[in-house]
Amino acid sequence: MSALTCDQVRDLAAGFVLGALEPAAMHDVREHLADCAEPHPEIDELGGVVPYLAESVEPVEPPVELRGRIMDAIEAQIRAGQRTDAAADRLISRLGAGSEAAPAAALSAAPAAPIDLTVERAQRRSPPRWIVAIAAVVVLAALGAWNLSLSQQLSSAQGQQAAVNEVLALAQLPGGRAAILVPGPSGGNPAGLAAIGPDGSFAMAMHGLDPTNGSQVYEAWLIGPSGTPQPVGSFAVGSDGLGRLSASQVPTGSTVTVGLTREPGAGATTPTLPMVVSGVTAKGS
Amino acid sequence: MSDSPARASGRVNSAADDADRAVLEAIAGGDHRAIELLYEKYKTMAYGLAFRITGDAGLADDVVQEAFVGAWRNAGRYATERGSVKTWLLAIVHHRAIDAIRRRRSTSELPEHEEAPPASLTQPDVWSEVAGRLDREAIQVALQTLSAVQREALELGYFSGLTQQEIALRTNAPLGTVKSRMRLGLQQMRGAMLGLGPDIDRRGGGGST
Repeated sequence: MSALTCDQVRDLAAGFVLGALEPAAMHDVREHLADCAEPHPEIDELGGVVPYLAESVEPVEPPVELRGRIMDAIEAQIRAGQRTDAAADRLISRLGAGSEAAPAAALSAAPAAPIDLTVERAQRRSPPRWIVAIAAVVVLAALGAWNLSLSQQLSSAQGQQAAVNEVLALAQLPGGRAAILVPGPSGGNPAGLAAIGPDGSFAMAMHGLDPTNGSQVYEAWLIGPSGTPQPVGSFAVGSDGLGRLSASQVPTGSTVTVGLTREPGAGATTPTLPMVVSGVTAKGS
Repeated sequence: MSDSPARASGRVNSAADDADRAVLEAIAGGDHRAIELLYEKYKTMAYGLAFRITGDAGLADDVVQEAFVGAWRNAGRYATERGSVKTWLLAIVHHRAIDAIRRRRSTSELPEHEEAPPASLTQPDVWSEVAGRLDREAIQVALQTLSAVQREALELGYFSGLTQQEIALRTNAPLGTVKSRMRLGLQQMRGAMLGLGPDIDRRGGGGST
């Protein structure tokens, strides 16, 4: 219920559209407007002027290097898989979608993805978010809903579930880290999980990959603080689109980006961009 | 949707908006380089606003960077009904800049992050047609029609990031007076801007097409 009356909102309208109220009052007005059945034309009337205050300002040419800084920041975030908020939601909903075997109650029992968080807040809280997402995957995997569309191909589905279980086992060890892998800017359907155990064990489970041809492989990479991608291992993918990889003696301890590229052959030492999927490791336990 | 000449004049503005929206859609679809198009188009306005608010070149750099990175991240959340892409983008810059100076002032509590303008800024046709065609000089002329205390209230609220209560303290005026100055200032500016576009106003606003 709104804490304010319509008259109080009218009284606060100018301060509200200018952002010049205390945070609690901004919140109360916003709540009122969201709920109120009465029209509040004063908000539009006064608020429509505010953008022109911004336009009244003398334009200033920014430093030339700012453009490069912005693009570098965006590309760094892409490499680090940070625009994954929506992508993680898509992953979760895709895992949930079409899985009639997964009761809605079980899905809601896992903490729902907080889709209304702003990106900033989501970023600050990214470890919990990864864990929330992983928890949703755990529920689905336990229900056998992982990639249910492939359930007829039982052996590969079972193999996939084993791969997922391996990833989750590593993620849940003390000191284990996990990453949800989501498509890069080029989009597509591939998605998966990867985890690094405290002893340097690595596991990855992927689905939705395009099949490889001939000598082509998918190569997994770890990108640590140095920024240099380290190859982890490679695998081929058949018509089921599933892939898994286990490795050992990978670096542990720091937050790393896990990426996957498609390479013309095994043994690549530098990734052939773009990344098919990527994600940043977060504490899994 | 009308084909009348009066409405057609508004399409110049809306074609530019459509182009901006197409760029945002491309960004939301994964073409991150498209943000450079928006940057090139709005960088001087964005930087001017950030610099005006922060008064510090280094801080303005950071604000504009954060704003464009934020626009890239949130391109998929832009909603047409909240106004033009330019309005949206400048609102992000404004918000970031105010955040930055409030952090610098170490106020106890920051408002929640909101990438979008605080209100639905849907604008009646006449208003957006008139206002959208006014250039910066005309907007400044409109601002000059405000009384000094009204301009000061808008200035302190919008560019200095002060709340109405803080403005009341700073200007030694009762809170109710500050509220009135802000409201009357915005209304006066609106009226003055409409007055500066008489031809459009007559056609669209007077119902005498």
